Amino acid sequence: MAALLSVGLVSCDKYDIPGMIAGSSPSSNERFAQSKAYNDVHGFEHIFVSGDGYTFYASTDSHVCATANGIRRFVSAYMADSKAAPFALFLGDAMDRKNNFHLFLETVKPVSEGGRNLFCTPGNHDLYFGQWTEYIAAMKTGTYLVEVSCVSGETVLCTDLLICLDSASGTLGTEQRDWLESVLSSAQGRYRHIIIFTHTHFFKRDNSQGHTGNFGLEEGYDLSALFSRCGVDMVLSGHDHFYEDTFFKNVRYLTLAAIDDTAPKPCFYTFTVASDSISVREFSL
Amino acid sequence: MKHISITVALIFLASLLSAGENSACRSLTVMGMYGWNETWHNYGGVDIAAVLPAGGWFEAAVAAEVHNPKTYAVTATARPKINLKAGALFLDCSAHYRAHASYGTADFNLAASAGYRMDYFSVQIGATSHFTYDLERKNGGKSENISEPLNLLYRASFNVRPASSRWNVGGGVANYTDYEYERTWVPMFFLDGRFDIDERLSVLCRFDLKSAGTFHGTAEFWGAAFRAGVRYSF
Repeated sequence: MAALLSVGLVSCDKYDIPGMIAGSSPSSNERFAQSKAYNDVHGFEHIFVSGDGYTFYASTDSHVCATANGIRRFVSAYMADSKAAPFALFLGDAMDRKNNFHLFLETVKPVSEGGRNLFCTPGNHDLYFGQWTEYIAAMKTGTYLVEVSCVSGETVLCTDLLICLDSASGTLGTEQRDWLESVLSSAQGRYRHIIIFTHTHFFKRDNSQGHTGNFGLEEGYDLSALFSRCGVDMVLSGHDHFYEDTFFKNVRYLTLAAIDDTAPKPCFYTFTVASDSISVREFSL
Repeated sequence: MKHISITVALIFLASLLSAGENSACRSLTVMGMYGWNETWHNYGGVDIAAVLPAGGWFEAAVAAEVHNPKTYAVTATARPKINLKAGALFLDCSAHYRAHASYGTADFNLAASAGYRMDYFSVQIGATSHFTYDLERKNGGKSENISEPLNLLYRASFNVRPASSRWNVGGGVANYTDYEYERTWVPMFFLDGRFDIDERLSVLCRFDLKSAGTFHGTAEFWGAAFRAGVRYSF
């Protein structure tokens, strides 16, 4: 029986069981090195929007498997909104089982074909079975910055900074953590808003979230202190599949609910960024 | 400073209680600790733990740890127990406080767990309510005390020899120690050893390993700590 169970667990194509001992994709530091190498050559995206505010779309945890209805409807809604900012965020766990990443990519293709950007962060499922190789080949980088400048004519009114962090292993690793501190230290006072988006959530206040891992306590406290010290406005995460809105040390932590086809209430979100506020709106599918 | 005061007060209280007892099983343990993890890199400190039995059915335990960077932990446990022919059933009711002064953050746990301790194997399972506090919270600022009401608490361990042996080594997995209560999905693995120099004095050591992403299915090494010290029973 034990042998059968072992074979069953190891041959499972949904959960990377051996990954509970040692992940099958490169470590956080190795992944960051690959991302940094790409960033060093290609730099970061700079988005321009008209006016002093904008609305961007975000979703997470599509867990694409046999179907991709949720993420498809998200893409349709986003592309149909002519007033939306030319970028959207996706917070990780694109696929559910191995060999499904191509389905996710095909589903979100209308975004790039429409001249817009979908900025993604890797989730833990995206790393299962060594799938980081596919992820990095398609997305090029897992840790990066995006600057969003609000313009009026040729005048830049203000600029916001979005920071994508790779927390797919439940840690940033030492190298990404040090890079983040240097970025945030130099960003202070230069941006109107600083928004971080990553996969792993920081807090879990309700019991609906029993099935998701998290940062270790020390790392979570260290990062929350860093975010607070450096004026981060908001931290967006997924992973947990349930919505949660928490303020800690003057930083707003939003965990977004999943857009997974099997979720009890799949949904996506829009964020309206203004000078003095960032408001969130949920759209159930 | 407040956290040091609490720690010292609890150790003092433990000493007073020890002085009033007359059992052969009271013990005071002092250990030095050195560790490395991805957040703190190199760190070190001191642990002090006292176990205070009251008859054969109850014991109280107090443990405190101070280490850099400005981290102070204290745990008080009340442990009623029933001695059986093979092993003992016990119920741990614990309050744990850990302040991370460098981050202006503290966590507090109220935990209850039931366990069965045998010569070669021990298991313990229960629940803890985890509260996170912003120690720097100011009026007008936006910061909540975060309560995470239900976390599973677990510990499973083994020893290679009976508990009464002069020396023993063992290991196990748990999501808490006397000095740290992690969330459900962050297990910590440990190896420990004991050598009794005589009836009163023992040498102890312990190695803890903490990984990140275990239940993400993307596990990687995150940190390790080594402790060594002595236990005096009186």
